[in-house]
Amino acid sequence: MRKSKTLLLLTMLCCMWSTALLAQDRIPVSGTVRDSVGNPLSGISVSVKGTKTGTTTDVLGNFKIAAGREESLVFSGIGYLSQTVPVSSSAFNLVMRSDPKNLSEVVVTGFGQRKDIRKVAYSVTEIKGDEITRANNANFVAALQGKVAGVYVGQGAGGPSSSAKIRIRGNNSLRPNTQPLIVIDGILIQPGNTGADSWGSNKDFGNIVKDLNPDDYESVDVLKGSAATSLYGSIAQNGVLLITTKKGRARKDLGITLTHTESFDKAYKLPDYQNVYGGGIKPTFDKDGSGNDIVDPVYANIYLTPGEAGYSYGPKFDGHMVLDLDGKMRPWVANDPLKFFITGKYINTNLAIEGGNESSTYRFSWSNLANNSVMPNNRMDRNSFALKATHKIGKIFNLQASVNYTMSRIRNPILQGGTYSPLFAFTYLMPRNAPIMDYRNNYIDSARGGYKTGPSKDPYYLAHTMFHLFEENSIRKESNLLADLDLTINIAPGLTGLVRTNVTNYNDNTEDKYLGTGAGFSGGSYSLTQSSYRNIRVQGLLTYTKDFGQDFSLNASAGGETVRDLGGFSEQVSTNGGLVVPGLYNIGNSVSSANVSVNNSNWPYATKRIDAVYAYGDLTWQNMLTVNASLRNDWTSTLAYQDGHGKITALYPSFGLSWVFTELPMFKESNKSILSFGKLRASLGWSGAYPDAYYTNTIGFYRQNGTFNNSGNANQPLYTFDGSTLGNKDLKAERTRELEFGADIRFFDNRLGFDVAWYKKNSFNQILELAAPPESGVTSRAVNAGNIQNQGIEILMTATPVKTRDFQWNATVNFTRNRNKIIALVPGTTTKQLELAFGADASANAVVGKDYGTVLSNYAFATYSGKNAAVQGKRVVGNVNGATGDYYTYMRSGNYDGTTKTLGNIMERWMGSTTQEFRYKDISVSVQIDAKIGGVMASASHQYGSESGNFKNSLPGRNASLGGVTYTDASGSHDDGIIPDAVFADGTMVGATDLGGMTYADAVKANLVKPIPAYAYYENLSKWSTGIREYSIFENSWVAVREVTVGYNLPASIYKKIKFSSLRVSVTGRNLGYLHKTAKDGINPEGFYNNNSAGFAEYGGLPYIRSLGFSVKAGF
Amino acid sequence: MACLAIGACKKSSFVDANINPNTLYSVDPADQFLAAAAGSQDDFEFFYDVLRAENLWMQYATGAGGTQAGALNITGNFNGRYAKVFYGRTGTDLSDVPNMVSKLPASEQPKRVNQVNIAAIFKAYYAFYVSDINGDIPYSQAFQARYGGTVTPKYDRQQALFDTLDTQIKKAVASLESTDASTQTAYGAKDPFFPAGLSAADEALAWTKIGNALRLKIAMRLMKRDPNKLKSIATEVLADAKQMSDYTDSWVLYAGPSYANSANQGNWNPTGFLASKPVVDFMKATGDPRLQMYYRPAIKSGTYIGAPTNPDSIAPNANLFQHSDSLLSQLQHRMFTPDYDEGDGAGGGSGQAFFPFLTYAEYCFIRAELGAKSITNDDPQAWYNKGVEASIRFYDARAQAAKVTGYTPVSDQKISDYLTLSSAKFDAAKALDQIYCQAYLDFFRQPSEAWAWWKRTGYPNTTSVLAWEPTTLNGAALTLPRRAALNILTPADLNYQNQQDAFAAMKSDGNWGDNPGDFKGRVWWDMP
Repeated sequence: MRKSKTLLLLTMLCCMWSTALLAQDRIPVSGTVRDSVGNPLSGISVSVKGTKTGTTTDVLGNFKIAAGREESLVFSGIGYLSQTVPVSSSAFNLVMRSDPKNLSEVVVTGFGQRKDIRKVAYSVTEIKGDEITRANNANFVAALQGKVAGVYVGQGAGGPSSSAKIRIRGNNSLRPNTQPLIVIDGILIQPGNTGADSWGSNKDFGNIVKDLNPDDYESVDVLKGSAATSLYGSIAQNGVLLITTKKGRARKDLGITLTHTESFDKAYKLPDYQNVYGGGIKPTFDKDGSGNDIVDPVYANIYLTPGEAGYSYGPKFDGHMVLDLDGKMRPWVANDPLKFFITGKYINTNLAIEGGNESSTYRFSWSNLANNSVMPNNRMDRNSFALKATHKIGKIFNLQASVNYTMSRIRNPILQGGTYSPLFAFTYLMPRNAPIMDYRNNYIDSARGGYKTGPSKDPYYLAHTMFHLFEENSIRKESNLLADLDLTINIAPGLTGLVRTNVTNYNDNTEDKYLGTGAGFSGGSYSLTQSSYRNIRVQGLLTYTKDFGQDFSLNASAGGETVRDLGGFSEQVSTNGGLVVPGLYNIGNSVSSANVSVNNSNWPYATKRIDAVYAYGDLTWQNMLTVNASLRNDWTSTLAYQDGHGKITALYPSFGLSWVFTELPMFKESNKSILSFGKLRASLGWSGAYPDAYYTNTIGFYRQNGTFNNSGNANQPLYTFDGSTLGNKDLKAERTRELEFGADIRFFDNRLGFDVAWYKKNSFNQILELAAPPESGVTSRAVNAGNIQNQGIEILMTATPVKTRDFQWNATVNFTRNRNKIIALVPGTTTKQLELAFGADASANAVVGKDYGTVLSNYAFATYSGKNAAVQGKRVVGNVNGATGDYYTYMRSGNYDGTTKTLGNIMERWMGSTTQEFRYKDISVSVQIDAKIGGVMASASHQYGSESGNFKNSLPGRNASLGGVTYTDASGSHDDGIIPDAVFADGTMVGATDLGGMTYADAVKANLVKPIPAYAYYENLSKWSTGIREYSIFENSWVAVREVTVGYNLPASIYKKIKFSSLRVSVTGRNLGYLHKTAKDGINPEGFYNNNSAGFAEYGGLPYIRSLGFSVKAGF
Repeated sequence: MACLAIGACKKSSFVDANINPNTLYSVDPADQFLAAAAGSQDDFEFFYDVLRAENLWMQYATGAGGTQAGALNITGNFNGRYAKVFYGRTGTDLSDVPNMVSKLPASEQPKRVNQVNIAAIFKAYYAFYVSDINGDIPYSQAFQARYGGTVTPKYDRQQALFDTLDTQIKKAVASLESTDASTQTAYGAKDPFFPAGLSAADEALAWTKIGNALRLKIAMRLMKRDPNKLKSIATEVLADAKQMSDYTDSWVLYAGPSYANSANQGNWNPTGFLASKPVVDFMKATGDPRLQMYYRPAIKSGTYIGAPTNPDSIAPNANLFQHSDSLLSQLQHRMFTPDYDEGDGAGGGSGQAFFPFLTYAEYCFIRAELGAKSITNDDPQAWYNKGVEASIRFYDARAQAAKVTGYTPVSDQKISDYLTLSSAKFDAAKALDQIYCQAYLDFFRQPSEAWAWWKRTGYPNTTSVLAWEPTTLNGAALTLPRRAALNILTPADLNYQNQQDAFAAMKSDGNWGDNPGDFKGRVWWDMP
């Protein structure tokens, strides 16, 4: 730090000095350089012809230089045709044309080296920082959605802090986390899993990605294949996101850029609620003593018949005043849960200051983000500081230091799962007339204290909901320091050394302040959780570059590193037995002595060490053929056993070949070829994965596992088994092998290009916990087994259909097809459960011979397999335990004949996206549409929300006008009969008649059974105890209008007047809507509650949210 | 190269980095015993098996809106005792006791003979408790995976299992009686069933009594199936002088207030369940001192008012149920969750929780029944009176320990009045009816045992001295479950075939039911 500060001061002094020395006989010339699409080009060198005077363009493409009126300026940059322009005016805009014959794109690969794309033998996609920031999303991973072929990104549903899910080329492992490694300026970061599970609720504070600030990113390079990632060995099985941060450039004055963005989120759509019928189960109102119509006191009230209430089969909404269950008169209208949600605001301000001279550069940036979501009481604020400085010491040493420090503060991530997740709370057993907004600020029982409770004070459970949403607050503050220092040494011509050291230091503290719900606000709790951890990496690298004669050029490196997770801990102190003084959130205010718990043994708090040595390089022949290879050997602590045994090393090689065949004379000499560039590539590489830290020395052993509150009210520690997994003494590393072929072919002076990749990736030796029968004394066994294959094709098409001086149209299309197949598990085992939904009623599984994520459930519709051959395969109804009113309902497959049915697969069949960009003069428009086709999801909101008649799906059959069948029973005549299209299970007796194999319709005709009242039909179909989960598991395909951006570079005549050096204004709309979607009954297709690899379920989720915002970027 | 530069590629430094600071490589056998006891109660089991099922079936309580017909079925999550408690915790922990003993130094192992025997009694009880509603279960081959044994244990037939368990307990009792206690290391404070911390000699005696009572309890299930075996076991057990003789001999897990806590809407919390009319009315009519231990007065009236238990009673009593929170009696919360906040301004309670396994009162009622049926020479009246008194004194002690607000301890006079002046007074003509109904009242905190007695004896019923309401839906009689609904493993499960074999074997019995999920079928011991 001290060094950096000194450097900064020095650099600033230098700047002032050089400004003072401006030549007097020249005039200042300034301008902006853009590419053919209108994007500003940074790093273009601008020099006065025939002199040594020169500069480069800044991040906004701006330059300032002094030149004589008769002189010319030369503009040049890698990949662009040089231009010489006479100084005829003091300000001008210049468009650089790309050099079709000398294509020299550069990507960042390996340990952060910039490399000519010609030499790269595998697929790398680079996303520019601007493309990420314009998504106006606090989470940069979420902003990658639809931008890279082969990469799946799912948005988090818990508000701005929530984790996005990212998966590159399928799941290579059966573990819950298959997210890639993130490398930022050489610092290794592993994003974690966060969110809820199928059982209950959780506030998703998100993983570390939310503490990364894309305002400071020059580019993000996505390394997909094992050949690209094998240099990272055992932590790179899932790919790498290689982030290069922005650095300052040598310039004469201070470069100041201010960017301000405001984006507004609006909740615009809910599941398909029916707004026709209110609470109750009969079409008419009863009256009270005063003649008022009263809301059905039993069937609309959540309290009175738990699990079977809150029906919306009551009278039609007509707006007249009725006496509600809480004794208030209200108009008889449907509620609108959307009104509960507010406008989300994303307000981000970034100030960047940069400068430098020949020996030093610096860039300092500060970002402030204030982001509230559509959910009241949920927000995230973030302050990020970045400093990057370079300094040359003599001719030998180059220093580069980068420090990123982020502080974020998150309040109440939106509950996912459980009773109080927002949409679930407004849907489950909640009649359509429930007055949501009346309880918004009116949930406290003023006489009693705590929440309103009981059937007359809180008949719809809304006071409970609101109390939880507004009086149980969780606030987390995080701080994250990433610091890196690189020393490059020019040892001899062609030979350089690099010593890189970096550190991550993370801290957070979370306060949970829960007001008591009881009388006098008794109960309540406060907890304080603090956690911290640190990681370091030290790397040494020698690199040798040499050209041999005309034909060969060599680039070779060798080095080693040690990566240490130094560990840390998470400590929670919480009050016990309530708070003495309600609302005083302080540990000392605990009724009983406080509880303390510490986690120092799980990621990221466990210690870990990985050492590695490696060598890699490439040899190029005639700028046409490049052979590259790498070899890495790892030593990892995570495979060491406490008694000293364990195979702790693993070797990761890679090989690649890249052939730019357009360098062949036949292409080079012929100007007639429509081919402007062509490259074929092939690579083979290995990467891997290790067990979690401590795993080998934890499973199968013992630990202190909780306490027993004994009769003396003392907490006696329990020492017993640590979990129920059988240990394994011979675990070895997981190993992934990937073969990739690709082609990069461009036509018509690069106006049309195709980048195609085919790969086949197999992961072996999966470290798995396979289920064991619990009667054996363990519930799972740790094994190394399996073969998981990902095979796919990625196509990127780029085209510039129209290109004139003023108008240009650029189009890109991405297509991805990945097949994620389970070839083998351990012999004798065919299924490994990956993720659950609806508690444990459905699951995503790895099933041998099928694709990853096969959805299984024994709560599927039973299909008839009984004595009547004519109706085999029809859905079955019968007597089902717990059915409302004991009416016949669909049988679950598991209960009918023990079958577990396959209900699809969670993985998409293909993904595609297209970005269309149009530029007319200084205005540009870009539209991104992306699609995910195939893959099923499970929706608990749909299942339990359907049970009491809230959704439109419950309208058919509820009365004669809606197709209900008329019938008469003991209580009279009804028109809400439904006749299921199903047959009776064998052995379903009515008197002495066995209805088995008879259709329900025939049984009605024969007067053996009555039609089923609609409320019971729908409730039994989807309620907790009898519901058919298959009903709420459905294909989730969509085509989304992800992003529309309109940008305008204001003409110099305007911004000069206000003393700016440039000004760009853009308007961006995100997640505008779906052109196509298959999620049932309006369920949000992107509202998943966690970012686990096999997560496929939502539970409460969120309304559909779209955002619209603007951004102003000004250079001074 | 990195190794050279860093100079530390020694394997030991990698081992050191991978040591979990929380891992133990062995524990004391007593720790596993304590863990087994602490793990024997489960909030899921309490919620889904006790509060929402057995308590309603046995008419100890109703739901907040009465007992719906659907509640008289087995729905989801029932049978928490099987995978979660027995195979997941208690059984595995107890199976590790002999293993941990075998790892002790040779000089230490002989001191742990009694610990191994006590663990064997505990484990036998749990296997019985699980088999009781599941029928055939894996036992002889179970729990072996950690010790190199099978991961696919076969199922023991229930008949064979009952024999195995009887032998196991008999052997343990014999060893407890013959081992010199002065050489033995006691569980002491690690035995939460006797929290005072017994000496090795007292511990051996206490568990001898439990072992003997447990043999009787298991043998009683054979009443119809194998009366001869019941008789021979009872004769053998009663020949031993070491028998339970006071309610303090009862086998009960004692815990603190936060063990089964009353967390808001928590699974242990009986809030929302109502006192049942049949039990309240019987207790009021007989002046039963246990009324205040079981239920709380209705808030509005301050008197004890029970809820009708028949599903068909819900509709006619809609007004009552609509305001059930104030009009009807609830369960005596602190007898379930002692940290319950009674809303009296004094905050949460700090008393003791308790979970009976086998009480002295139950032992007395067993002997009363054996005597009444002339299987033994026991005097039914004497054992009936002892049982009732033991039950009242036990619950009285528990209510005091649970710190039930405003609780008045029971006087000797009240007990004798109950036994001599009320209709609970022993009447030889109704001996079995009375014994069964008093056992039923005693099983207030063991509804699973009440269910087993109901299956075995048919009591209580709508005509017994404590008369249940009939359970009907639209006038049609509803029948109660008799066993767990068994889940069928998927064919991919490693133990699928063993389970299929067990199902086939049980089905051959004829009364087992149509399919594994048929909870109105019967396990082997439950003869029609």
